[in-house]
Amino acid sequence: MNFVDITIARTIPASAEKIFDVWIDPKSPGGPWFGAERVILDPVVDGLFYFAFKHEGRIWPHYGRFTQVDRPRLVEYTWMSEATKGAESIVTFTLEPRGEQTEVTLRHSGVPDDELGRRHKEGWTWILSALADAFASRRSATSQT
Amino acid sequence: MVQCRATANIDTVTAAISDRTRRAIVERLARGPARISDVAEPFSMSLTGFCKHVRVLERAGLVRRSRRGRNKILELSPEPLRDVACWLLKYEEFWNNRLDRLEQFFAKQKQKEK
Repeated sequence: MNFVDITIARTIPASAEKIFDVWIDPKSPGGPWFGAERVILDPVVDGLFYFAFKHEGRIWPHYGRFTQVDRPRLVEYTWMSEATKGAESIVTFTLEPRGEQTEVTLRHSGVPDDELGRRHKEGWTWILSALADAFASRRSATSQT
Repeated sequence: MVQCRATANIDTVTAAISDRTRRAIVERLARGPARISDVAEPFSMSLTGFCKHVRVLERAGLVRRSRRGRNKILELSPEPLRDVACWLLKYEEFWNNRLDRLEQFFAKQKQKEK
């Protein structure tokens, strides 16, 4: 993981249309909103959501705004919570048909996938590798004392 | 469970390392702490100009100054960067679970159709 985004892919044995409809359905047991304490969802461009998720004994409220809803190809929304420190992260869910199946990709990122976002990502990748080298060598130095 | 402390501001850090001189400073300090004057030496600029760069890096939380006797020392400060995307680690498990659930939901449906 490069610390700027996570990308997870899966192949699902169903059509993109069926999967898309499940993904934006707050009640579907296959969907990402299932099992929440409360969900309020308006899955259209500029629609908002509230998603309260119970984890480790407490409720984590999430808020977001749908930025792209392009059935059956893509749905994208901002995602904000205490964990993001109030910053708007971005969730992008894309669907690509593969015969009778569909390859879905979930990307959750701190930055949008545009030029500025890509420069952020380059910067982070550079600095993290620079630091990784620094701290690896420091650890081996201290373990010798 | 990953513990998250205050995270660096991603924009401040990115702006800090967008400059070639500042990247070179970080690379130098990655080899270990050093006297400010030693770090400044290879750069063809005044110490004042050099210190402006150092201040940008300090504000981004990337370096810190200390004193060793009479010497002013610069060193890398890793904490802000280590924690910067802590929230992403929390969500990795969350999203993996959601996608597993999505997959199982349709796998079961397919089973029923047979």
